[in-house]
Amino acid sequence: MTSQMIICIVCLAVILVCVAAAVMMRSTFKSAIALAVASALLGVVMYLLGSKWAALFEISVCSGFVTVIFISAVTMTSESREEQDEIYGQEEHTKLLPVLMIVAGIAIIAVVLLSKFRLPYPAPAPVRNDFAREFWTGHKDLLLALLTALLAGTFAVVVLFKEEENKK
Amino acid sequence: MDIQRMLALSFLVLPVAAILISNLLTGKARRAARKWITGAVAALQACAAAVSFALLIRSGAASYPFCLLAADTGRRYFALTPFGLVTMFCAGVVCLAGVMVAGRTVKYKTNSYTNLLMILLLAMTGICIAQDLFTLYAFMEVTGIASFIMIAIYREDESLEGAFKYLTMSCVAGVLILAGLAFLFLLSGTLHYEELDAARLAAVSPSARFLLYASAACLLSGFCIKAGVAPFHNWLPDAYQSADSSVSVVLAGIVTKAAGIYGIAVVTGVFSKLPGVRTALVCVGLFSIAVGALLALRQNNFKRVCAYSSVSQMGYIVLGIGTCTPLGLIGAAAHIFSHAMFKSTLFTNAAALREQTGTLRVDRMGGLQKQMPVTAFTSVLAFLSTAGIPPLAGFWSKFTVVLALWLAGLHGAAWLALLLSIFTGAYFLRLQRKVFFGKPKEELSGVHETGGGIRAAEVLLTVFTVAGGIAYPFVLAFLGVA
Repeated sequence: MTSQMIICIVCLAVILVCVAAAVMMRSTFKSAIALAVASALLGVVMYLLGSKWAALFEISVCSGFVTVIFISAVTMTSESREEQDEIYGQEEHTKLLPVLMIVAGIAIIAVVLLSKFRLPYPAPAPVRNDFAREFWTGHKDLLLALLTALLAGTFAVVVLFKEEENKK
Repeated sequence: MDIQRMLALSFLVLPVAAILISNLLTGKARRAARKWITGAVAALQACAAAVSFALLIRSGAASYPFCLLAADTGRRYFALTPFGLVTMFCAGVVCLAGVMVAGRTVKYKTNSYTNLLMILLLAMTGICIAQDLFTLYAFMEVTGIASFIMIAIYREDESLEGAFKYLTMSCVAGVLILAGLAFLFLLSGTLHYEELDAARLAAVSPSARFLLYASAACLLSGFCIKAGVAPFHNWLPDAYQSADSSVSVVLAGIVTKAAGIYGIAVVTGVFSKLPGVRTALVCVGLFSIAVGALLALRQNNFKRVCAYSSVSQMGYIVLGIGTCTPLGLIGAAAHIFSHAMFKSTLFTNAAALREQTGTLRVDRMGGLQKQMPVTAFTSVLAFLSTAGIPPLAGFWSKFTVVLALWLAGLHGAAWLALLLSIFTGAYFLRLQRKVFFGKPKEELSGVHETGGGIRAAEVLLTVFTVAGGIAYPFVLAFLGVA
């Protein structure tokens, strides 16, 4: 097993824990953080598997901007613990959820490994070692999309935080 | 540089130029100037899309490929297609209507509103001209971010809740689409439209068949969430209701179509040879028509009725795409146009009612037809178009969808689509009767017709609804269909 494979498996395991934590946590703020960690690790896995563009987009937009937006919305609508209890009640049974998720994950992996089902190998992609050149010449369409995403993210932060700063 | 290339580049350059210019403006007049600039760019986009559409059809080509720089000739980055141009035309008209309504409803944060609207327009254009599924996904995420901020722009509790639901469902859609793209890439080694061969995909080995179906299911579900099609529609009514009316106009009018329906159309093209895709889309379409219409019957808020009506009407567009025939696609594109016009009209009516009566609760309104004649007239025409009454645009688009279903051998679905349109008449008759007709409410005696941008937007959109209906046979003849 290569070191790259080991990092991938560790990342995937931590993603599973983070996702379970995101669903379980009562604090939506902490849930958003857990989701951001899961998203960033997914970006790492994508990068290690050779999908650099997907990794770049996952980390910049999903883990970056979306988390900023989630946290902004959460901080503006945060409720006290008492209010949350009043709304959602004491739902103790959900504590079993992460255990169930992890068991389900292990079961799926076991079934896949034990069965004859095998994923096809990816179709061969051209070898491109010069990422900078590829970035500027090979994917101008995606570059435009990323720049637009950056613009949207910037305005998102401005719209959500500008007035708060003025008040302070 | 030929005119088609100039028009193609204008779609990308104009929104960016509008953002730059409106942010550089200073002085007292800048607020009004920003709206004028944004409105002008939206109008230019609509005109450019219409001219490009005519040029493309006359040339006889299926699409017009182009790159940002003339030197980039090796790769096909972007392309103008007839379906994309119809969506871009609607985006221009609806954004123009949104700016006009914003003139009355957006009292502060005008700069943020206009900036975000231009980003939204640019992102929707990106979706329509993309030639690679991952680029389409990237632009779709941008529409998600911009829409979220536009819904939550005033940071009121209700709008934040609606925006949060929208963002959460957008994230779920994003995960599904990303997973679907990963599976598809694993099978084909490419996500470029030209290189994705539907016939070759359908003939993959039995071991890879599971992955192919997983990819199709993930991609279609993800785009259905973005389109607000039942049973993926939970976010839609809250988002529409809680947003400012000028934002609702844009969301309901075009965003769901560009970010969701356009994606469904592209993905259906990729998986068109896969058995089951057609059945799945037709089932989802019929289910959406029925669920949206039945839920609309139970609503007491003007915007919520329109929101559930959108869920229902999206079903017709999905049905058209689901036939996997050129006529079905024409019907879907026509319904994108007609729905963009009549639904934007109805949300503009909502803005007028909110401004004048201070409420959108249907049970608190009544007999407003005499006090608000323009709003009532445009609302009735929009309703008639929704119900598919000739010769309005809604009639032709629904007729084409039903005809495409019939010719594709889906006779049962065609009959059901026709029968379910009765529900559309039912919920809109109830709405019109309660709001504009019947006994006038005493507390609304001081209400009068709205003015300025809202009234202009109502009239503009109604003109398109009527003109679209009258011109439809000629457009079909121009396309070589009739």
